[in-house]
Amino acid sequence: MSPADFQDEFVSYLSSPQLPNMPTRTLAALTIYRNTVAKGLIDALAANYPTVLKLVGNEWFESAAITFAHLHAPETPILAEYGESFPAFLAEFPPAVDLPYLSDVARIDRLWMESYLAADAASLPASILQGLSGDQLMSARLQLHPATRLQSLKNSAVTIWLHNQIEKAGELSVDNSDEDALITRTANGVSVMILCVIEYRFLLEIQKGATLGEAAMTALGINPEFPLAATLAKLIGAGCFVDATFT
Amino acid sequence: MTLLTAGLGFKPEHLTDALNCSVSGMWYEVHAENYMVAGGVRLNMLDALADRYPISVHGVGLSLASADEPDRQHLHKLKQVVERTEAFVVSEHLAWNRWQGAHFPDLLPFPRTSESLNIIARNIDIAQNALQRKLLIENPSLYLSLDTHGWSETDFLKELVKRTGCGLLVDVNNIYVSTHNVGGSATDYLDQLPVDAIGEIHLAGHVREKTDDIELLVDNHGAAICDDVWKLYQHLINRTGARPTLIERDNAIPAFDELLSERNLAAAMMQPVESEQRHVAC
Repeated sequence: MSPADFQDEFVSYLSSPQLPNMPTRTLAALTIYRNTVAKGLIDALAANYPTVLKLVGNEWFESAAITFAHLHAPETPILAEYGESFPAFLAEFPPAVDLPYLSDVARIDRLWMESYLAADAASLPASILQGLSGDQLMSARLQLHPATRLQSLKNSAVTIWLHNQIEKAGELSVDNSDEDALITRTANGVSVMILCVIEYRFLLEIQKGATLGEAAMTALGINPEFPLAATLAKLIGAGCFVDATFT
Repeated sequence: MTLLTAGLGFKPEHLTDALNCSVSGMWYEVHAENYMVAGGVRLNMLDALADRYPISVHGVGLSLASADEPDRQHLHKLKQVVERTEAFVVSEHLAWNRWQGAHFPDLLPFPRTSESLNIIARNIDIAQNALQRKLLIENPSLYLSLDTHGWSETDFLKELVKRTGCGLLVDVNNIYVSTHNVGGSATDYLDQLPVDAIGEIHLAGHVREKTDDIELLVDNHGAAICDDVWKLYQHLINRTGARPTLIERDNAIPAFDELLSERNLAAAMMQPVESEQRHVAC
């Protein structure tokens, strides 16, 4: 048997739901390989989706993780990247039908990990606001930091996610509303916050390439009392933008 | 230059203790794949560690025993980690875990035939050329008895050393586990290894698992090193002299000091053989 044929056959033993009849010793050995692979995949997903694990518990999570892993093996040995489609899988996973927020909570776990592992870059400092004229500020095009993520979510997922970062999270009542999350990274680590609709639209325009002036006009169109300076200070303070020079 | 004696596998939860450890000859080993990321805290930790200690880079994803050639993109990322840490040694496994674009987080077995020898020698050549340096190849822990082996594992490793110029990473616990599971004598195995090729030694713990009437040892890196493995280690270094020796622990990770005690024991066991080496050299 060629090495390629052996590997094809071995993978069929790793992947099949049940092993065929074979000598007890061979079965015991194959079971160890199957268990090690399964544990590796479950552990990787658990590390990448810690809030989902906390919400559903070990047994439920393992069952979901194994079902997912049979459909989607890792494409690389870099396991921090594994499970990109786990949130979408959870949205369709029948046992999760009574947990409508779970898929969006998983999305936040994923964005947290993306932010955590994103490239380094200096953040735009707060002092930038003092050194610019009004015209310079309004014509500036800010770039989001490589670790910044912006995402609209449903079912109060951000509130649920934030609540479950507390070690002994108590009861939480939610209204299943839509929420917008901003995920950023500073020297203190990754942080997740809820943006109000107007802040979200303002930042979304910047992300699309609008100048601060254009983005502010969009925001003012939604609410004429949009607090531009305070919003900008809040976003800069969160490490939202990459450092730049302005002319 | 300080002689590198025994080191520890780096665990992020031990960062502060690891950075403040001042024992002589200390070094750390990192799993390459954990640092194949764009930026952030992981790379900051790696840089801080590499600033203060010699680093060994241990890969788990090259899949050298795959029928296919190593993934070039993965090799490129491995090279980046090796260069970033200025690693004093780079190692990988005599195993496979990539199959048709899918990755299995384990180190899988294969029949040691002349055909697989040709393939693995080709893959080691590709990897060493890409990295522009020697790889140490680690013996795997085996669970499955195959009747299609044409080569003993030690002859297979010796031939790989001869053909590719690679070195060996001898995992003493893997030898203990494998010989228990698939037969053979651990001391005979150690005695057949080519001493000059051995660039690093691994020591770790294992567990016993019983299914029906079959008891197999599982190399889980989740327990203290057992007495028999320490004895085999002594047997090995009596032959080889002092070699950089790693205490591997990836599961049920205890306090740093507990791992440091095992590390210090390995370093102490190396001292007499090291002075004997010097005496012979004089």
